[in-house]
Amino acid sequence: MKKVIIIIPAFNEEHNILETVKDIKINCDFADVVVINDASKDNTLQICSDNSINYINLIHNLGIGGAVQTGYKYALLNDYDIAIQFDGDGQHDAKYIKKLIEPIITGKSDFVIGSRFIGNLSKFKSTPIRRIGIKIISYLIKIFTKRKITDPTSGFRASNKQIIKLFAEYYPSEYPEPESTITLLKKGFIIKEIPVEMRERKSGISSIRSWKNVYYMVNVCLAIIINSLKRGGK
Amino acid sequence: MSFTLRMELIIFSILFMILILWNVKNEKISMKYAIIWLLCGFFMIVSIAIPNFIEKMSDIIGFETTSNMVFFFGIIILLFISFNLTLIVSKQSLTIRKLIQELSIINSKKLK
Repeated sequence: MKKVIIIIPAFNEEHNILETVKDIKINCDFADVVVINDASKDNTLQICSDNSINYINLIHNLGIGGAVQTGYKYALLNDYDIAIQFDGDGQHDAKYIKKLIEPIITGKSDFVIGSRFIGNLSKFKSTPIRRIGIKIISYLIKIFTKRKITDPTSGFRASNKQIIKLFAEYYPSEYPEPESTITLLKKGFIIKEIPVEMRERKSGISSIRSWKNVYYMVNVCLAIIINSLKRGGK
Repeated sequence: MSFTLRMELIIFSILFMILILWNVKNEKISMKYAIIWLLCGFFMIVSIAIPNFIEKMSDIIGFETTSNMVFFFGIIILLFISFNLTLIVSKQSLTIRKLIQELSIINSKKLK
């Protein structure tokens, strides 16, 4: 049996975190959980320790990239075979975790992304403006790597041991999902997307705020172009 | 340049150098980063102290007016310094991120 860890980055998620972890415990009891509390200002930390959830408390806020990377470092230190990124805001559904790691267990794929744009499982497909943004990112990735990734901003992803090691060493900080996906494509890893259902976040504010959308797009597009110029090879 | 103005500028430059050295002495600026500023100060003093030095320089390089050359090199140097600072800040933020991550992981182990 492979050792599986679920990394849950959490910043001010006191209303969602407990439910998220319970959902995981019910749907995949075989996996360990680690919550990365990114110096939340609310009671996220208290809830984690009261309910004996395995957590790492960051001593200073690092943002989503730094928090997720802490999870990968933890996975590497504790010798896990598969790491899953899972949002702490109730957007993701734990019943898809088994499907997500299946291609990695069978060795068919190195990295699996849960996509809300494949199939019709997901009724919630983000706001129209963000959908356009995601389309543009997806199109850019196609131009530069000739591979189609339908949901490059998805935070529901699973990686094998080799990628855990890679991410523990290098992980982008600000808007990490599209950039790290490009890095993996360039290095020749096999990436697969599977259809998943995503919900509208229950409460709290998404890490991508509306007034930052333009900045986000410029940032991601530049990152894609720069990353595609890097030399490949594992 | 009148003698009075020259004296005033030299005093200003010397005060600038003293300020830098004072901060180095009090360990507020590390020597590594102070060198570029000390060089700036030194060049300022030299160019003021030697009569017609700046004028001759700008003639040799081919600037139409002396002030053009002063502004040109002034901006180039400031660009270089601020770009260098960006490099330093980026490197440091990576180091700090790593420190926070490793320390937080160690902390969480201790609690269990």
